[in-house]
Amino acid sequence: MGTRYVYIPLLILLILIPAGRYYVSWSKSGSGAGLYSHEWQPEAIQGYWHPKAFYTSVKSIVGEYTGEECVSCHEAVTPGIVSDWRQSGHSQPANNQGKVYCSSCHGNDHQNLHLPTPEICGGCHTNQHDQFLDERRFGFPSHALAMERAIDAKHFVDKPKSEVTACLQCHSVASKCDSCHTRHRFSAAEARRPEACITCHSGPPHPDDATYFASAHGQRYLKDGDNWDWSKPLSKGNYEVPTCAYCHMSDGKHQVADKPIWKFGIKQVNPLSSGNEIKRQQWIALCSDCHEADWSADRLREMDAERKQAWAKLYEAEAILKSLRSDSLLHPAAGERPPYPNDWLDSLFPREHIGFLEGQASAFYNVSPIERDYFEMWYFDNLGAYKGAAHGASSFVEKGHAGMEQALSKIKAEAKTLRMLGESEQRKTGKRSAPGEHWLKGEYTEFNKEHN
Amino acid sequence: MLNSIEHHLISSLLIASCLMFNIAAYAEQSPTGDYVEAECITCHEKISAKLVTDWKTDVHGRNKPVAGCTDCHGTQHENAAILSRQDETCTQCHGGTQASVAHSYSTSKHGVINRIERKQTDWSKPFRPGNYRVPGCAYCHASGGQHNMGERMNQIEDDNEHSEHNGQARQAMRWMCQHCHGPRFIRELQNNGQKMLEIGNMKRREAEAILQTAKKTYTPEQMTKMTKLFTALVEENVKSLYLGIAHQSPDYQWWHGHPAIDGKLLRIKGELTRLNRLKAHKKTKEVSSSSE
Repeated sequence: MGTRYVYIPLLILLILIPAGRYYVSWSKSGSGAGLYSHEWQPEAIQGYWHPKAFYTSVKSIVGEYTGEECVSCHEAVTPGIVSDWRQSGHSQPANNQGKVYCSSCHGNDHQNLHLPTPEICGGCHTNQHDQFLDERRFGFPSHALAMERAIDAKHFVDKPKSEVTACLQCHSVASKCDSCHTRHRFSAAEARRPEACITCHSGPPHPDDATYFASAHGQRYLKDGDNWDWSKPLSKGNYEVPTCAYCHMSDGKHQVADKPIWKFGIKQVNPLSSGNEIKRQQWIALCSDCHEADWSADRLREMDAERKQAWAKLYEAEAILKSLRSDSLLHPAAGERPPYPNDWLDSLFPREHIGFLEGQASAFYNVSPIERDYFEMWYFDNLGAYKGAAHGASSFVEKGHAGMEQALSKIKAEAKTLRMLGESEQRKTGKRSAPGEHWLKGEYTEFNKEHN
Repeated sequence: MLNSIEHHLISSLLIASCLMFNIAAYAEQSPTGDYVEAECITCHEKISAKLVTDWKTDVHGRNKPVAGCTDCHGTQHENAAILSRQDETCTQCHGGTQASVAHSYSTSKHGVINRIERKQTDWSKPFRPGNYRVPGCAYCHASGGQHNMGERMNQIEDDNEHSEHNGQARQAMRWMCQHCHGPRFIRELQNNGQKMLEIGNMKRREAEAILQTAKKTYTPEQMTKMTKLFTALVEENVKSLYLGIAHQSPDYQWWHGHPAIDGKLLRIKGELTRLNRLKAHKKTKEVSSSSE
């Protein structure tokens, strides 16, 4: 009798686990890549950002070539990259190692050339590749997980692929090594410079460049950095001031995401968790090149305090939005505008997505203005303040908090108007007014419906 | 099958020889000394008339010249090319290093490498394939003695009026890219850029159509906020998108570009909705007050 309590759940598990695994592998088998691969097709250029998934060789040239043959022909065809290679460690190897030719990474057969993936570089650079893969255990955000996070983002899947190419260009840091070690020099010294990071780490949500350059560390780098010896490893005593890589890749470790306590800054974390205590000690040890432990601990506590203030403001704004949502006062509400991207539940039961846990990251278009105000407060002002605090640029902390204050007052005023208008319309006509056809129509809105 | 290699070889040799011809002309013994604009023009009209006519067609020299020979080349002959090859010469007039036109380049991979290696770069070398690790402003816009900078610039709009020019501009730009990049990569990057820009234009037209609708009902004063949003959409965000595509900055294509345009578009929609609601609200208030 009692055995059925064992075998029935067991049977269900035996069916569900393979079914789940099959579903995930099926979902990744479409024309695109990632969990929504059946929903999209890549643009041709995306083969260069995600080579493993999309790159196909050009078929114009026939034949198999040796490394020297590649070099002698490309010297005339694309002299820039050959000149770059000639100055690289691959062409001038240390310790009597053999040269690394074009064919070592791209293959010999011109009909079946490949673009080097991290695995190919890892064939020789095993330590760095192992560390790069190991970064995954620190979760997102991390370089190693960047590509899957990009292609599994709902707005990436939803929008026309040529519109979102820039996403993959930065997130390709997970699929190839030349984001930091640019081809065909592949220089470690170049990757150590702060500028190596700024092509992706710039702009409103991650002003890592601007906040670092504004800090005391960055100011000294800008003044003297050109004269430092960048061939030195990122170890204690080798550099006058820390740079992006010095702190986030100390001793050249490729687990870039290993230490940040507040991570990306888009959700609240408990800064005092045991894991974060370990990170705190790691930071203090790193800063001890120049700073006393107490001083560094104070700076980290200041950042925690700054984050606490930021989240108080963000939660206040979220609460206002959620109360408008409860009273059906958002205008247009979900259902009166194109649905939250790639979410069949949202087409059946429309609901506005407010806050990180509900998928705020994709709620920056096709939303009402007040929701966009919150998006900008959360993603731009908040993150600007966070990066200012983390990198030691107080002017960015002030600017970010002033921006959040301003956004909060705007949200409060707007909420008042929405409440006044919505309630008055309900009193007069029994329902809130319709926001208008223009939310569902228009050249781009209709194009986006048909193209993703 | 070898046609493609031959094609590359011949075209590369052609560019190289054209550039060398230009350089040979420049390298001829030229008198030293401080020059003023008029002297440059008088002499160069005789020895390299195309430079002068191109400059006069270009925005720099058209009508009232905004940048003349000495602004970019200095007053000394021996430094003339060295000065004009460096980005600082351009940014001194184009809004400095933080203006979107310069910043979209300096945050690109080309710009980053250019900045890191600027001290080791030999700026006396001509813009010949293989001489520079990355292109700077002048490498793309003015190499080969091109003094009409508009020639290689794709316009933001790709309508009937501009599409022929845009095609030629992209074709001309490919020559520079080919010094390092393969033809398919260049083609696909340009194709994708065109599509990405066209989507920006679609959003702009969608916003414009809303303004047209609003105009039927509302006065320019009532539409002040909406018009301001539209101006910023065009002059800041679509421009950033365009610069991001042209200068290969993912950040300008995205955070300064598409999502920023999305924000303006939805706020323009919201503004029309708000005006409509306030109008209806005012009406019901009037009705209710008159019936009371």
